Amino acid sequence: MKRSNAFQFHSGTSIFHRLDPLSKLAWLIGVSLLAFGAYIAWIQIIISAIVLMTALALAQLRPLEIIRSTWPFIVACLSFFIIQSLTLPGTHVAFTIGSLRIYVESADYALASALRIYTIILSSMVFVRTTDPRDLAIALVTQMHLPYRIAYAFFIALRIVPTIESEIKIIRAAHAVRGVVKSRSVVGRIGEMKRYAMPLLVGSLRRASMMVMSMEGRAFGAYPQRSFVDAPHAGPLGIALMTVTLAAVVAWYAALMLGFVHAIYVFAPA
Amino acid sequence: MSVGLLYLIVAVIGIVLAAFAYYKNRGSGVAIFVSFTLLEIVIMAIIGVINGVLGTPNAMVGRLFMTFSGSYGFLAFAAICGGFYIAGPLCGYIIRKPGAATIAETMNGVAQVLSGNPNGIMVLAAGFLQGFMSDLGFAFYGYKRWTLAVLALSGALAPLLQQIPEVYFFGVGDMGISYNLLALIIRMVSGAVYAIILVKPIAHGLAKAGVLRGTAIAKDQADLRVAAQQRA
Repeated sequence: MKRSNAFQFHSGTSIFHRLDPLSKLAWLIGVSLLAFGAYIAWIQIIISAIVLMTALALAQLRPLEIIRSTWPFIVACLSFFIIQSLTLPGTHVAFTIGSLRIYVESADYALASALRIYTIILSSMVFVRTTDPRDLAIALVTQMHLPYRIAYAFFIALRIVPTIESEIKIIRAAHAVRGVVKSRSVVGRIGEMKRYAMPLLVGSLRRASMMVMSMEGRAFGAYPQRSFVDAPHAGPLGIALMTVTLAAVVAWYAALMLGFVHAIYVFAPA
Repeated sequence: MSVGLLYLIVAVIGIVLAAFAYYKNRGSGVAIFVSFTLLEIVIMAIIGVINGVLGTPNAMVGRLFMTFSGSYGFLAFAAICGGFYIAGPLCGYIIRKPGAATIAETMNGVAQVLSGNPNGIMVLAAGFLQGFMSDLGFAFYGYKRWTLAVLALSGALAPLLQQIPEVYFFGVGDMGISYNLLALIIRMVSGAVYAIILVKPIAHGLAKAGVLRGTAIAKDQADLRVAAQQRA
C-alpha cells in the first residue's frame, strides 16, 4: 500500500469503524493532549503502546500496513531520537561511543520527543482510516450543530484531498511531455512546487465548483435545516470511549499540576 | 517581567485590536456576520484544506529543522512560518467578507490534524487564532482596501495570538523574554513577506483561470477589464 493512501478512509468492520465520528474525534484530541503533557520516555512509551494496540486491535490495521504507511515518519522520528540524543546536554552518562558521551537525560528526552510525534501521527492515521468523511460531515451537523453548508464544503474538500497525489502526477507528466525536466535538487523541487501549486489549485477549485453547481441545481441549501436518513450517533461504546479519554486527560493534567508527575525528566542522583 | 506576562500583554493587545476593529466598523455598514455563498464556503474549504495537507510535511521538515538547529531552531522555524498563514490572507483577499480568513484557517487546522501533523491538536487552536487575527487586518480597513500593505498587515497579525499555544506546547517559554519576542517578530515579518509575495499572484492567477466566478475578486477583476477596454 502506498503512503498516499494511508491517510484516507478504508471501509471495514472493526470496532473503530463502527464508532461514531465524534467519539473518535474526542479520542484523537485526548491522545494529542495526553502526548503533549510531558517529555518523559516511560510515559510516552505507555501512550504509544496504547495507541498502537488501538490501531491493531480496535481499528484492525495490520502491523505491516502501519509500517508501510508511516515509514517516512518512522525515519524522521528515528532521526529526531539520534540527533537529540547526541546533541542535547546532560549530567549522567549512560554510555559512550568512542569519545561521544550519551547522557541519560538527553536520551530520555529524545525518546519521549520522537515517540510523541509518532503517537500523534499514528492516532491521526487510525482516525482517518476508520472514519468516512461523509459521516464526519453529518456528525458535525447533527451532533455539533455546525451549519450544514460549512460541513458539506469541508466534506467536498476532504474528498478532493486524496486525488492531489494523482493530480500532481498528471501535471508532472504534462510538464514532461512539454520538455520540462524533473529536478532532483532541493531548489529545483521548490521550483517544482511553485509550478505545481497553481494547476493543482485550479484543478481542485474547478472540480469543486462543478460539484457546487450540481448541488445547487438540486436545491442544496434551500432550507436552513437539513435532515439525514442515516445520521451517526454516539452509542454506548462511543460514550464509554469519550468518558475514558476525558477521565485520562483530566487525571493526567491533575497529576502534572499537583506535582505527582514531573513534566520533564528529573534524574534522581544515586 | 516574565514570559507569562509577556504573552498576557500580547493576548490583551490582540483583544484590544479586535475591539478596535469592531468599533471602527460599527455603524459603517460592515456586518460582522455575513452569509457566504456555497461556492465561497467551498473555496475557503479547498484552500484551507490544501494548505493544511501541504503544511503537514512542512511541519515535519520544520521539526527536523528545529532539532538540527538546537535552541535557535524555534527562531529559524519562525522564518518560514509565513507559509502556514497564507490561507487566511488569500481567502480574505478573494472573498472579501468578514470571517473568510478565520473559516479558511480553521479548516486548515482541521486538515492538518487529520493528515497527521506532528504538532497534534494544538494546530486546531493555532489555526483559528491565526485566521481570526488575519481577518482583523482586513477589518481595520472595513473590508474595503485591498492593497499590498493591507495584505502584509493581515499576514503579520496572523501569528500574534497563534504563538501563545505553540509556546506552551513546545516549551520555549523558558527561553526568556527576548527569545520569545524575537520569535514573534520574525513570525510577523515572515507572515507579511509571504502574504506580499504569494497572495496577489495566486488570487489573480485563479481569477484569470475562471475558477473564482461569483466571488468579490472576480467581480473586481471584471470591472478592471471593462474599464481598461473602455480606455483603449
